Amino acid sequence: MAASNQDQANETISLEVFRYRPEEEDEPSWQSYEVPFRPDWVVLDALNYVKDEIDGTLSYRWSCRMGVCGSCGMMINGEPKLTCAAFLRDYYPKPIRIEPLTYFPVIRDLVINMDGFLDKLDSVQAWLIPKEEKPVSEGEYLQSPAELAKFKKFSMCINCMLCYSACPVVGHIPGFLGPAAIALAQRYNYDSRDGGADERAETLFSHEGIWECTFVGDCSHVCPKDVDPAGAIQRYKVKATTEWYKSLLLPRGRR
Amino acid sequence: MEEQRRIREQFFQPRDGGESVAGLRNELTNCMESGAGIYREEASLRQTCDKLRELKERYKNVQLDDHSLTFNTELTTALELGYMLDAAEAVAHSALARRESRGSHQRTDHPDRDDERYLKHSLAYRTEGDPRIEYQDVTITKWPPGDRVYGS
Repeated sequence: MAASNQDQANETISLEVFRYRPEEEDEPSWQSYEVPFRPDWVVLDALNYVKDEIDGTLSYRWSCRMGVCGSCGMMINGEPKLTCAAFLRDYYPKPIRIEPLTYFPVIRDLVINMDGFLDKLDSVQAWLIPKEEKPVSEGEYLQSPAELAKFKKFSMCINCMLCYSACPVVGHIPGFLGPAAIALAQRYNYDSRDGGADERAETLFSHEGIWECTFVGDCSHVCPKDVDPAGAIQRYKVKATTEWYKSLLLPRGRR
Repeated sequence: MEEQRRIREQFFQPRDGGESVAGLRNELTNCMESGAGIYREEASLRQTCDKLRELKERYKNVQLDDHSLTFNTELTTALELGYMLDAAEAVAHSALARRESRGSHQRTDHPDRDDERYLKHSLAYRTEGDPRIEYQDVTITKWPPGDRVYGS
């Protein structure tokens, strides 16, 4: 904490924090903490203050403190947010309610189990499947700025999972691939070096793929990186529909 | 199994007046910042080395609030603190032994680079007491060492 803020430390703000300790309690409970209010503090700073100064048993994930690592996502007053980007001053003087990301199983306190999300990422093969394999000795796979621009937006995803907690469809249909996995599949589908679109199509077109999306758009609204997963999904729907009509109407050679 | 037992014995024993992870970590940060930052000298490095020894001793008496086996982040930060103390000791003692300035490691009491003696990798070995510092030759490939000049 910066010395210049010491004079502002007289004010405090209340945190209402979701607790769940599976070894000690059958059900979650709420715990209140009173922390110094500093206008330059974010919710993550307040949680770290609790952890260091008040209660070492409070568990939560965090790493970079600057919106890059994607690990500190939580529900802040019911909205999915990166706690490193949620300033106390935007809530002060009211208390702040902090819960684990919704629709995910809770391991402990604010820590969720992300296995389901990681499985979904796996299932869409969100990695580069080279169009043509070539040995390193033949050099790089070159790409023009225009080709990069086609997928760059989707590549900004930091896997923070806020979009899953914002998506009502994820809440109703837990198997739905969900915003980030589809946006990341599109990140590779639009990559000029990639040849894996057909392999990904089967999962994306499937029952729990793109067609479950009802275009609520909250995923794009909460995304801290402006990835616009909702846009990615709608574009895939258009592509899928066009392909389907083509396969119906055109002779095989023209598809 | 042996490691699990060691962790239980070191971190899950109830202690009176034990040290907090955050308290020791703050002292570690401050002593590295003040004595082994970009600009350092023999006196400041010695002070830091002494402080690190004290912190390592006090670390043995660290006390956790959290004795759970489920996602215990207080335990992981305590383990990390132990490794940071080892790394800090290796850094500070290597810097103390290196009577020269190189890159962003500026010894104000030895402002010049000394390739004769210190164009070497410092190797720190753990001992019962202070780390033992040895050197290994550097293989220069594309970039020979040069001067790093600040503000000009």
